[in-house]
Amino acid sequence: MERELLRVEDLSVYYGEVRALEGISLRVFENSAMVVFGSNGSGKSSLLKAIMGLVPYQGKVFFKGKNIDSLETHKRVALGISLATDLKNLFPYMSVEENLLLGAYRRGGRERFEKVYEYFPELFEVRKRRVGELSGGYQRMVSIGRALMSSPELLMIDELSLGLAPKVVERLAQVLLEIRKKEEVSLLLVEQEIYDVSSVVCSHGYVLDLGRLVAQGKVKELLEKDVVRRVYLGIA
Amino acid sequence: MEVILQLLINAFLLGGFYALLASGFSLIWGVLGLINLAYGSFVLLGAYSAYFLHQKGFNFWLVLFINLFLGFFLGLFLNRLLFLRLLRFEALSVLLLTFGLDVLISNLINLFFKGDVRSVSLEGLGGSFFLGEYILPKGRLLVFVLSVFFILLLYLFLKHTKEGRAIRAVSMDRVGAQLCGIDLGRTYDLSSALAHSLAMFSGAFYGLLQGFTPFDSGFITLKVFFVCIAGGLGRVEALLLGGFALAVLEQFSGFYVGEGYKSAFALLVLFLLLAFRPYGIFGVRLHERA
Ligand SMILES: Nc1ncnc2c1ncn2[C@@H]1O[C@H](COP(=O)(O)OP(=O)(O)OP(=O)(O)O)[C@@H](O)[C@H]1O
Ligand SMILES: [Mg+2]
Repeated sequence: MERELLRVEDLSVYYGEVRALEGISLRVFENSAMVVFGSNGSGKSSLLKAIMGLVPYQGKVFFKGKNIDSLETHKRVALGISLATDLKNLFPYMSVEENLLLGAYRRGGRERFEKVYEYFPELFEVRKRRVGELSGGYQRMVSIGRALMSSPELLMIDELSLGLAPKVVERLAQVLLEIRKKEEVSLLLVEQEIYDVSSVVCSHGYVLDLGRLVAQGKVKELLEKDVVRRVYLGIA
Repeated sequence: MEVILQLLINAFLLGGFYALLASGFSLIWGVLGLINLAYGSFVLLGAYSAYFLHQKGFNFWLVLFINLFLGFFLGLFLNRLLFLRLLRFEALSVLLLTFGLDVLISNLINLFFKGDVRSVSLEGLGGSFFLGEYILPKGRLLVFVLSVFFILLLYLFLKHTKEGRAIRAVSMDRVGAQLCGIDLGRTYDLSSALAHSLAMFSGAFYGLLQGFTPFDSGFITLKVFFVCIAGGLGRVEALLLGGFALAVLEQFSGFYVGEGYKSAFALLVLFLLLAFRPYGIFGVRLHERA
C-alpha cells in the first residue's frame, strides 16, 4: 500500500490578527507528486513555511510518522524535507557551486553535484559565476538544485512558474518528471493557475481559498467541481 | 614628498592593524545584524589583560593566546546572555543596551586598574628599521605582519571551511541558510565568540601601539565603525580597504592639522560617508538583512 510521508493535521497560521490558514489537513504519500492550487494571498507560501518550521503555527505536522512540531527548521531539513521558496533565498555573493554545496550542509554531500548538474547541465557551465548576476530562470534552477543537494525525501517548491518564460517552465517540468523517475522523492508544489506545469507533474491536487482547503481530487477533474469553478472562474 | 611617503608608510602599517581591529565588529554586524557599541570596551579589555599578564611575567605570545581564548568564551557568554535577546529588539534599543554595557565595562576596568594611562611595552621592539630615509618602527611592523596574517586566516576560514561558509550564508540570507540546514543559534554563537576573540586579540596590539585609559572604548568603537562604513560590510577585503582609509585620514590630518583633531576629522568624514556613500567609498554593498 501507499505509505504516508507527510501528514498535516488541523493546521492554522496567524500573522498577528491576519488569518493566513485555518484548519488545513492534508497528506502526501511516498513517491507521489501533490499540488496545492490557490490564488494570490490564499496562503500557499504560509503552508510550505509552516511545514518547514519557518513560521509559528497551530496544529500538527508529521513526517514519516514522527511529530516534528517542536523541531527547528534545520532539524526538519536533516530529516529530509526541502523547500525551494518563491523568493529563492539564494546567497547572491557566492558562486553557483558554493550555493549548491551549502544545500548539502546537513544532508547529502559533494557527490550530489553530479546529479544536480545532470538535471541542469546549464548550471555546470556557470558554476563559478556569482548567483546574484544570473537571470531569474537560472536562479530558479539554482534554488531547485540547492534543495536537491540534501537528497530530500520531500521536495517542496513554491510557485515554480513564477515570473518565468513558458519555455523555461516547460523545461523545469521535464526535469521534475526526470527527478521523480530517478530518485525516491515526493513532490509538494504550490501554484496559482490550475492548468499549469503542475498538472503535467502531479496527478492529485488540493485547492486553497482564503486560507481553507475547499476541494481535492485528480488535477484533471478539479476544474469540473462547482466550488473550484466558483473560486477560480467566478461562475457557479 | 618624503613626508608624504613616510605618512603613507605609517598609514599602511596602521591600516593593516585597523582591519584586524574592526574584523570582529564587522562580523557581528554582518551576521547577527547588531551594531555592538560595547565592542571598543572588549578591545580595551584585551589591552588591559595584556598589560596585566605581561606585568605578571607572562610571555607576550602566551598573552595573545590567552586573549584569544578569553574573548572566545566571553563572546559565547555574551551571545547567550544578551545578543540572542537583542535580535528581537528595535535597532535603537540595541544601541542603547550595548552602549550601557560599554559604560559598565569601562567603569569596571577603571575600578580595577584606575584611570592612569597604561601601555604594553615589549623588550626588543623599541627600535626601528630604516628603508633609505624612511622609518619602519619595529613594534608597528610586527603588529602589521601579525594583523595581516590573522586577517588572512579569517579570510581562509570564512571562504573555505564548512562553518565559515555557514557564517557567510547567514549574513546573506537567514531564511536561505536555515533551508540549507544551518542552525542559526549555533552560527550566532560561533560568530560572537570569534568576534570577541578578535577584539581581545587586537586589544593586545592596541596596547603595544599606544597608551590607553579605561575610557577610550568610545574612540575605538568609532574607529571600527568608520572602517566598516568606509570599506563596506560583508567581505574581508573590505576591512583592509576601510582600515587603510581610516589610517590615511588619521596620519594626514594628524600631521597637517594636529594630533588632537584626528578623531574630529574621522567623525566628519564618517558623517559625509553616511550621508552620501552609505555603501562604502568603494561601493561594496551592505548585505541585505533577511
Ligand atoms: N509576514 C506576514 N505578515 C502579515 N501578513 C502576512 C505575512 N505573510 C503573509 N501574510 C498574509 O497572509 C495571507 C497568506 O499569505 P501567503 O503568502 O501565504 O499567500 P500565497 O498564497 O503564497 O500568496 P502569493 O500568491 O502572493 O504568493 C495573505 O493575506 C498575506 O497578506
Ligand atoms: Mg506565495
